[in-house]
Amino acid sequence: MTRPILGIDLGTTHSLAAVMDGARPRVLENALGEILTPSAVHLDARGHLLVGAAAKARATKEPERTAVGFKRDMGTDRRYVLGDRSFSPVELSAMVLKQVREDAEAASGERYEEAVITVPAYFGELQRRATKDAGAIAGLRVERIINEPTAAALAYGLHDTSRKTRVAVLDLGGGTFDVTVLEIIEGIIEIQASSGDARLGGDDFVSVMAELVDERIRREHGRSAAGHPVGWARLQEACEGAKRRLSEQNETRLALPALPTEAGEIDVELTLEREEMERAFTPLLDRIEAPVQRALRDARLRPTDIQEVLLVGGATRMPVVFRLAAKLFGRMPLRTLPPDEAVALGAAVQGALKAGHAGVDDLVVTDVAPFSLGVACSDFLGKRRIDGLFCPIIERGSVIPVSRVRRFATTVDQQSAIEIEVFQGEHSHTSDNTKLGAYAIDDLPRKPANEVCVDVRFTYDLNGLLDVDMTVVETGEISSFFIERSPGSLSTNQIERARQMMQSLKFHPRDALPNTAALARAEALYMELSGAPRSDLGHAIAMLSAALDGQDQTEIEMCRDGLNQMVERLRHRSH
Amino acid sequence: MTLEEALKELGLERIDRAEEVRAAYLRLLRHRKPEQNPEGFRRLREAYEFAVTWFDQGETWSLLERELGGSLGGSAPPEPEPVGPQRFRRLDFSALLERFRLRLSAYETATLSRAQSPVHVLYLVHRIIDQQKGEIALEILNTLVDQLPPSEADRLPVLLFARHLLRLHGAGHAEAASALTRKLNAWLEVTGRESDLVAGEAAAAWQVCKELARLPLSLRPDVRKALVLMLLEDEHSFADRVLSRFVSQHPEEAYDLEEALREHAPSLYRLVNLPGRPEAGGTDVRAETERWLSYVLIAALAFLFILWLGRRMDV
Ligand SMILES: Nc1ncnc2c1ncn2[C@@H]1O[C@H](COP(=O)(O)OP(=O)(O)OP(=O)(O)O)[C@@H](O)[C@H]1O
Ligand SMILES: [Mg+2]
Repeated sequence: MTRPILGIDLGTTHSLAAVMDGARPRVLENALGEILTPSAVHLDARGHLLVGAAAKARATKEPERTAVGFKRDMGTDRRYVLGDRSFSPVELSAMVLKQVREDAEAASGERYEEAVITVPAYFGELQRRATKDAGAIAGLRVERIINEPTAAALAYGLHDTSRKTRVAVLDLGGGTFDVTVLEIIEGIIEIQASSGDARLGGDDFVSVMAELVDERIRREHGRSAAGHPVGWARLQEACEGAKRRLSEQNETRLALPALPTEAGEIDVELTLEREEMERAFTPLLDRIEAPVQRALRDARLRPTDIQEVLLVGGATRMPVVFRLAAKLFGRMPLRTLPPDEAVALGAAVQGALKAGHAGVDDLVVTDVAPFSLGVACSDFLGKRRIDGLFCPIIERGSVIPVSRVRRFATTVDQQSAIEIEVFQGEHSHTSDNTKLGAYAIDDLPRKPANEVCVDVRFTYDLNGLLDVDMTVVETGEISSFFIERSPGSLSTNQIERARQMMQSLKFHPRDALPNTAALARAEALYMELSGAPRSDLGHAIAMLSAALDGQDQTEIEMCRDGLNQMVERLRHRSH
Repeated sequence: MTLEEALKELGLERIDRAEEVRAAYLRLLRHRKPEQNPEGFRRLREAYEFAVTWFDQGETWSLLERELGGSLGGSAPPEPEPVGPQRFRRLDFSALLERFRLRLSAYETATLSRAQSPVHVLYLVHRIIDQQKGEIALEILNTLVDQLPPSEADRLPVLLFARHLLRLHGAGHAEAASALTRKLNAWLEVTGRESDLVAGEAAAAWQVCKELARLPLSLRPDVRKALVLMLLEDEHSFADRVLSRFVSQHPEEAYDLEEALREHAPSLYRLVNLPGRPEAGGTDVRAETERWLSYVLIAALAFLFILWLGRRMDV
């Protein structure tokens, strides 16, 4: 039997894992018995690493020791400073992956060495490489990276293989927005186009709310929380909660006692109305439309050709997003799949497909290249020569695996060398696209301009490997190179070093995580309360801390459950 | 890939309807999954795309020929039987193919070497201009005019030809496009049926081509491009921006252009809005009035300010 492949949704705000259970995928619980693991990393004062809910809860108290939202910086060289250390987005992602993997192994009793990880369709080549590198650092072989909306489509297509329908999947997560148009024909899932906005997600709605609330605080108290890291983190956290409540109710109360600002603490209490927020969200909502149009255009379809609109991603729970989707397509969207889990479920299905699992025998998926790949070339406008133009060879939306060839000629007399520079992107000038590599041929036969030609063939496979072959037409001489590692991605050595760095870090012991998370969540809530509830909670926190010192397992569990219940109750009551 | 190869790959003998191609593809796909047989899948997909494009293009050609046939003569075609390719002399592009052997793709070479109808050629030229190979497009159009006997003038869709000329003007080939316009004009005169061939929409496009050919070659390429875009794509806002920048940065040239258009290009002149050269020595009544008004306003403000100052001093 082949080893099982783990499907992982590495999200901006949450990550989770799923595996195949017979012919159906199933999500796995983490150490806290929860399905979603927040994509947050915290380095505590003793140098211990915390990943997940516990880390997330510490973000409000010690924002300078906590990293969140790093998925947005994948593929860049930004560093996150946590206490006295600094980490790259790849390393932080690797920590989340490691945690998710260990939790999955504990939940299923299997060992996983290979994973399929999902990324937003709009991730470029560099960000995909960075994601693979993160997997490698976490000790996972990641050959296959798939698009999040493709994964959601897979989970959806699997659930009824006898139909013929055309679907648009809209995935609005914490940090990214993706649209995919696909056709399902009796078990064949044909992805026809994807598009998206790599910088639009639920977190942006929270930022807009926080700005708005801060503006109101400034008007009322003459002070702002924006300048104070803890104040700002607490404000954001409160807005996150308020945003979710506004998905259910028309208005909500926001209370922030003793909120630190740049000039002392203030007590904030105000009411937010859904309608007011929705008006403030207009600029964000406007950005949903363009990618939808682009995907439809690429698939040569009109909105009315779509028969089903599927919403996934936590932020599609906002009523205003639902309404917008309904308006764009002129039909009611579906929420057939659990919005937070669809992507992970699909990743597990993809893992099964890759492993040749018998349960998915009658399923076929074809996906498209998410971006164009091409080379730099020159052209003549009349007599003027223009350099640095992008000449696509594999166009965005080509069905993969794919192989395409294009012919290029010399531009000056007696030209003896030609440089093949490979780019990814959609802009007409290479300076706006991403360079992936270069190769020079320097023994061309010397002839007048235009008389020597080179055929450049690009072959792009399902694992995202780009194979470049060049044939000098005159001589038939062939050279080829592989673009597997692009500039900016890590070498095997660097991955090894990052792995050792991770091993040298002390991860918080897994079995202690439930207690740590319970305490961290309670402490975060403590800051938002006042009066009797606050002292009750303080008491419960003290009880658990004392039990932990005593090491009696039953007592610890009792105190922890009591504390968790109290936190749940108070969270609801306080609004 | 050839059509024969594509059909073989798809297990088809011929294509009558586009849906047959898709059905064959979907049937075979189950046995050549991208996961298990990437190479087989790649070939299948290529054959599928080739066949679909081939079929679509055939459709487009016959459509084009039908549509343009209508706008050519104005009246219904005289012959009841469909226009068969054998009736005409074949167009021969072999010299040109040899010259540009390396810069034309396999598809372009194949189409050009089999091209029987000017419509096919003009359709291909569209693609070639799109790929910024304007000089090749010009050569093809020139060869076409050289090869088409005036007695077969009915076969030339003037509208399509004129639109290509316009695009070439916009793509920086003004000189060659102007020369070609003059050549086609002479050819049309020889046929003796110009008014018959150039009717309706074609008449307007052809008129503009002739006007553009008469404009001085010194005309800035970006202005020329703006004019062309306005004609081809109805891109008025872009053109307006370019033109107004041109007017403000190079007023003298703008006056020259206005004169040239007024004299040589009446239909373009009607389309664009350029300022005329001011009469030497004359005064512009409106500007003069505005100036006086602003003097009065400033004086009034100054007076109010002084009043206000005075009151403050009193207090
Ligand atoms: N009930 C709700 N109402 C409004 N927004 C919600 C609700 N529940 C979750 N969200 C929002 O959904 C987002 C998280 O969604 P999800 O878990 O799908 O994202 P992700 O997969 O982590 O991110 P991405 O896919 O962008 O990488 C957060 O911004 C969260 O605020
Ligand atoms: Mg997601």
